[in-house]
Amino acid sequence: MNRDKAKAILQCCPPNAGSRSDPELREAFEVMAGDKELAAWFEREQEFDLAFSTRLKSVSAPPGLREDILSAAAATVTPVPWLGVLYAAAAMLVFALGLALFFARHDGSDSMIGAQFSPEFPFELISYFEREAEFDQLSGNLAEVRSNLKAQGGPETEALPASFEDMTRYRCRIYKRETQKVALICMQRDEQRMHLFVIEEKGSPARTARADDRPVPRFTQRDPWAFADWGRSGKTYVLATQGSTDDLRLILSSQ
Amino acid sequence: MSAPTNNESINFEELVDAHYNSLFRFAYSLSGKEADAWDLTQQTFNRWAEKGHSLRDKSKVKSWLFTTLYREFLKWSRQNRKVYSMEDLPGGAAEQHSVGSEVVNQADASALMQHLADIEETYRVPLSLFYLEDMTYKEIAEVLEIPSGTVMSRLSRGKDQLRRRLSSAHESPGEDKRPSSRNRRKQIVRRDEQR
Repeated sequence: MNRDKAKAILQCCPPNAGSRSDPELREAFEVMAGDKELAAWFEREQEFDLAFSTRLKSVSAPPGLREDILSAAAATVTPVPWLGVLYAAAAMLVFALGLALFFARHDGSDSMIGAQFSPEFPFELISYFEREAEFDQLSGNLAEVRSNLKAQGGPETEALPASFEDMTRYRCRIYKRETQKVALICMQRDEQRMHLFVIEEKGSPARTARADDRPVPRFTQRDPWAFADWGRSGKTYVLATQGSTDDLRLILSSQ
Repeated sequence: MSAPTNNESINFEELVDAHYNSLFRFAYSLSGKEADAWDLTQQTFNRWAEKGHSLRDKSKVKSWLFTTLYREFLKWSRQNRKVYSMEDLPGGAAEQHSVGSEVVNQADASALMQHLADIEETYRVPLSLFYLEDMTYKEIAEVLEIPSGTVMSRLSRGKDQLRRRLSSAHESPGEDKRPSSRNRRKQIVRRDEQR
């Protein structure tokens, strides 16, 4: 670790922290041990941080807030936990049916998607939504996510609309299904969430060629979900959101 | 109240007692106004009453509450948009300001809270968690759901903004070159009334 990196880490060391067990912080302290100037800077920094922190913490909540919180919460209808599970299951079932209908509708000879996916595929997609917390990476940067996907051998996502880069949060996941590699990128901006599946079919030149033939997105509405799918460079792209196809058209218009 | 283990049930009143002061301070540091901080804190506990049962890992309660308050603040912020750029800040160029702890010790706590509230939102939020909750950059990254490297750079820039603001206020007491957020809102309202 160099001096600059150590200084950056030390600057983020909270004034009352008992967090010196953090390996990075420990390393930064080791750098500081041999650098008197850095040690003096850190002492001043901590002194300032401690003073500022102590003064801020002297602010107390105004009288009456606690009572207001308790009385307001008492008036709040608390949902029965099992009812929440039931709602979630129903929502997933609707989503599953929507996806199943979507894929069933496009299973003709002109459809790359119908030819590729088995009826179980939508349920796989849902299971990944369910396990969103287990996604490989959380990032505020699409380029970082794409590079991470590439490093893991996932399908390359070279042809994404520029507007995808305006999102503020990204999560990603790669998984394999028989001969397919699937990358899932979940993107969020404010309250809007988009889920992009990139599916790469290996060893089927005919299908690859047909995927190349569908550069114009096709839109399908299956409330509450909207889908767009297109094929390019041997890959199939499926974009899903809870909203309308207009939301998808808007975001894809910069493609 | 000690941090509950994964499946331990949570008594609402104990939860409020354990966290309402710190959540209020966090809300106050974000909004800069006591009344708004009151609403944000209350709204956060309302959210818990509605949705808290769905939190599986009960050891994450504190993180859940701070994340929820932050989200409530973002909604509030969209309705009361207040954006300052670096150019708005007194002091001009981004030179290093060496404000010592003595300046802080002389200042009124609510004035310090106001200085914090006047910092750009991007930097203010991690800075508040850092000073009020002694959170490490990794803990802040978890609450705000952003990469820890981003938190580090935001903390660094936030501290720089804070020092500039304190330095300026200390050098020219009573002569803040930029109107406070409250006064600025009053000016906007007056302008609107004159139309």
